[in-house]
Amino acid sequence: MKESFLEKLDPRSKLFFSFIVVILAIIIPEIEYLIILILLTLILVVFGRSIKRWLSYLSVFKILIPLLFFLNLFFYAHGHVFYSFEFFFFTLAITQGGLTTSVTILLRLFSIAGVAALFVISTEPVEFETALADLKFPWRLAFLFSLTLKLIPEMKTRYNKIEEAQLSRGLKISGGPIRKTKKKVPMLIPFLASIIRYGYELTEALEARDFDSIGERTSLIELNHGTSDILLYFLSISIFSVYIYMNFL
Amino acid sequence: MKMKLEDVDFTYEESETKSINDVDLYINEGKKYAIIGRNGSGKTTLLKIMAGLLEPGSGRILFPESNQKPEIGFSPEDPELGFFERTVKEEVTFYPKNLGLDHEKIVEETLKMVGISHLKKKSPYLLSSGQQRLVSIASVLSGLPEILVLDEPTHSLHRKGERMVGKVLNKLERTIIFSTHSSDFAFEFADEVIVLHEGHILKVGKSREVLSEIETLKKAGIRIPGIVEWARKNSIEVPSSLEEAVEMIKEVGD
Repeated sequence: MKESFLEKLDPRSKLFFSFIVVILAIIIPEIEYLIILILLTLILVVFGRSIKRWLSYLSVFKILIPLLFFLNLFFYAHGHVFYSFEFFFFTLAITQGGLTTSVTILLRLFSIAGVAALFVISTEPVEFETALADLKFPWRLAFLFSLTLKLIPEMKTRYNKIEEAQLSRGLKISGGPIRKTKKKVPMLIPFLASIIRYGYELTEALEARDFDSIGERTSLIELNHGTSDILLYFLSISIFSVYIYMNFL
Repeated sequence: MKMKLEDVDFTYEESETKSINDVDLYINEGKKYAIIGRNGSGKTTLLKIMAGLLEPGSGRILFPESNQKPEIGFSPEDPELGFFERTVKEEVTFYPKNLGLDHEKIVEETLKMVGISHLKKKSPYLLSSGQQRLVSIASVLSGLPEILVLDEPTHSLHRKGERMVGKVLNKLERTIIFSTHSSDFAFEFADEVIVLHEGHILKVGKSREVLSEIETLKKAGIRIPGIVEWARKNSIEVPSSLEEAVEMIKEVGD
């Protein structure tokens, strides 16, 4: 059942908003505008009461963010030097240019990932498929996209179940990387078997529903734009137009 | 008392609402407990907390009779998901081997106890759902856990398979906690029933008493057990077991 404001939105309007945010995140070089872009996404998430789910989807970046920050900080070093130090044979420096570049890249990544997470947490894969088909995407391609969206959480769930089953039978994963990998064999084998089985089950289900039939395809899901969707389209077009007007015209 | 849950709460990372809400529970030694409730009521989450697979957000789990946490075996809802060995015997050996126990004798005894000695050389993947469930139970029993936690042991089984699993559970002399959708199974094979509704406990008590409370069952969305329905139709007291019901029918027949 659709509960939150975000889930009730039409997938096409959310897709349009996401598309605009991604385009802007790529073309905007200014830190302050990127922050506004992230804030806009955040406001929608807060209104949709989905902040916890949104953050849990973004938690995968908690390793990537410091890594990218430090790499960009030193590799793009230019301009005024705040601090420098010797690291083996190299001289590393924290510069104004390096700092600006690494923050910009991080904010750009965060705006794209943020809006993608907003779309994923609030859209059922089957709705996404219907929206793409409605936008005249080839149906097979639309199905492929929705299947991919569905498969990632499915794989995660299956792996977690297998992990729990083995951990509760006394399996302890400890030691160095090689030992840990060896210890994970009791999880990897059933996981692979389970994914292959899932593939077969899916094939059977698709064939049973005459996947390859010729003719126009209909959908059980009906997409309807509401007032909130119109407002979201308006917001998306406005932020895009304002930025283009302020910077290019 | 074997296990005590005090004010246990749990919320999944990606969720905004509590899956388990303020649960207080006492688990006594040697008893069989059935956790029943509709889909999403928190049965699996509560079982995983008891098995130590999930840490409660708040509250405590105590083991008053032991100085340390006893060995707790957990069998998941889809038993085939955990299988990875070539034969049933190797699968049952996995747990005691991990604990460093002398597994040869234990495995043979476990296979016999569960009644699957004849399957020991077969691949666990090629067995029927009921047999796979028994292999899953055996693969957990072989670690000699003091408490056995089973998630939906009758999931996707027909009535005959359900009874096969139930009879094995009846034979096991240890504390067993299982979740089930089937009120008939809970009535027949559990000593006590825990009714879970939207993450909190609606009722705990003896199977016969709890499963005869129509209002509680309706609120929790649980089907009235066949035996209770039959007793109500005939305006008689609910029998304490299926055997007693059979005796009652025989008496009426005579």
